[in-house]
Amino acid sequence: MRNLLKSEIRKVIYTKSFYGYLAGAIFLALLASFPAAYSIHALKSQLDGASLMDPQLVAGVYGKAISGYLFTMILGIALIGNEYQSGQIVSTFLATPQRFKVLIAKLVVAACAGIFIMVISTLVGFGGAYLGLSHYPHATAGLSIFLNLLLAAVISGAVISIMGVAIGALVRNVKVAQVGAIIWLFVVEKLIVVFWATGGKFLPSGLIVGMLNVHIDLKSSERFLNISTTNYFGVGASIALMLAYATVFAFIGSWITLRRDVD
Amino acid sequence: MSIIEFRGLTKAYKDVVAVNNLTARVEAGRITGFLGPNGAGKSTTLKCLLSLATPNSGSGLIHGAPYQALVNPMRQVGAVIESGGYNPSLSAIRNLEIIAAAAGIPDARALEVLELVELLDVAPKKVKEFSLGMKQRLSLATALLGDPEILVLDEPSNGLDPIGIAWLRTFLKNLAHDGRTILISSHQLAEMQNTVDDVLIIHKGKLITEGSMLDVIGTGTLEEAFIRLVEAS
Repeated sequence: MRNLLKSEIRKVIYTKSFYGYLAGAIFLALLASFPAAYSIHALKSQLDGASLMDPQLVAGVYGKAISGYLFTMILGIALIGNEYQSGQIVSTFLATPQRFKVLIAKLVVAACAGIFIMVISTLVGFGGAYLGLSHYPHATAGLSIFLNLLLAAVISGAVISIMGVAIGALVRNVKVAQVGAIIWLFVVEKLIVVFWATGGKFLPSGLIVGMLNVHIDLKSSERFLNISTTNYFGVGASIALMLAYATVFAFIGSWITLRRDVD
Repeated sequence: MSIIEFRGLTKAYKDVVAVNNLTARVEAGRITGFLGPNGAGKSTTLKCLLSLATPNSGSGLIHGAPYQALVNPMRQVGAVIESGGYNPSLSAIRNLEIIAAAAGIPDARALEVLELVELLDVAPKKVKEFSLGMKQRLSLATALLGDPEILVLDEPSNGLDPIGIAWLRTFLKNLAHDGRTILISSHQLAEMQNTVDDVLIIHKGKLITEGSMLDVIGTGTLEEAFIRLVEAS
């Protein structure tokens, strides 16, 4: 297993796209976190009760630092999907024909790479949020948001990249899988949260908010501006559900990989 | 002594039977040509032998065991499979280092095999910039990483120019001279006649003949024997 892990780590660090995903995650984290305080301040009149005096809302601004998780899913998809697409999987399976071992190594390395990307991008995003909030001296949040952010970065980095590996094993076309993942995370999940708030808490993005332990309830005449996380799961339940997601997706990925012939 | 054995191997994709109840043996220390027209089932058979595809019934065995059951298989069997085996965005040396790591082979061996296939000069070059011939040589380098006693080569001369084919012929002869067993699939019959000791010929997934080159071709050429056998099957 040590040899396999070494090989899988090389596949990640030798590939330029890994550094691209890291840069992308940092960019997204900054894009979401830095202007968040200004956006809330600017929309204050439309958002009933929105004030940066509210520590929960300030924590929500810091929470935006975790927005780069999309790239961990893209990384997971690429890790296995590109191998099938390029034919590299042939040499992988020739070196280790026990496919279950290969998949375990891939999942472990994907999880570690995902954690790396998320921790770095979240820390940078946290810095961005801090800078954005520095214009509002009365805006403060407790230390707990920083710790919750780190915890959520670790769990989401591992789980979402594992989900990506499973999706990459399932969908043969890497680009289709990656575009599908972007549409799901950026559009479908957001629409579900807006139109079916109770369902939103079960989604990965809802569980990430749950891990942050941020409780916000903002009402607006514009429905898409409504934000309510008050009924989201607590930290423990969110972690448990995220791990359940990882288990189910890892099982799906293994099942497909074990059954699939190499074209 | 047979070193590779197919026992009633059958593989179907939906309604198409690619390999039909194939039973054959490959003897140790010899170059065996695995011949057949395009679509005869050669690649599918080799993929089943190397556990890259799962047979519907029967088996392909190496030293009496499925490839999956071999301990450190790359040290026993080296393979070139049509679909490649490397990441085109990485350099030749990086690709080999990745495979070497998985098989527990020291990185220094990657340079050795690149030298063997005369690709050392282009080791840092990305594989996507390689010609087809260079890619075939890289595949051979991959197969040789574990210094295996058995080589399974699927159409290794595809895309090679006459100089490349001559190089491959000498290269394979040298490998066989070292006592290696080589199973090589091809439909380039004239070339095979100059290279192999034994032949297995399949058509529409079924074995139509096996034996030594001399027994199969008699006084004619391999091409004549091949056409006669395929038409009669």
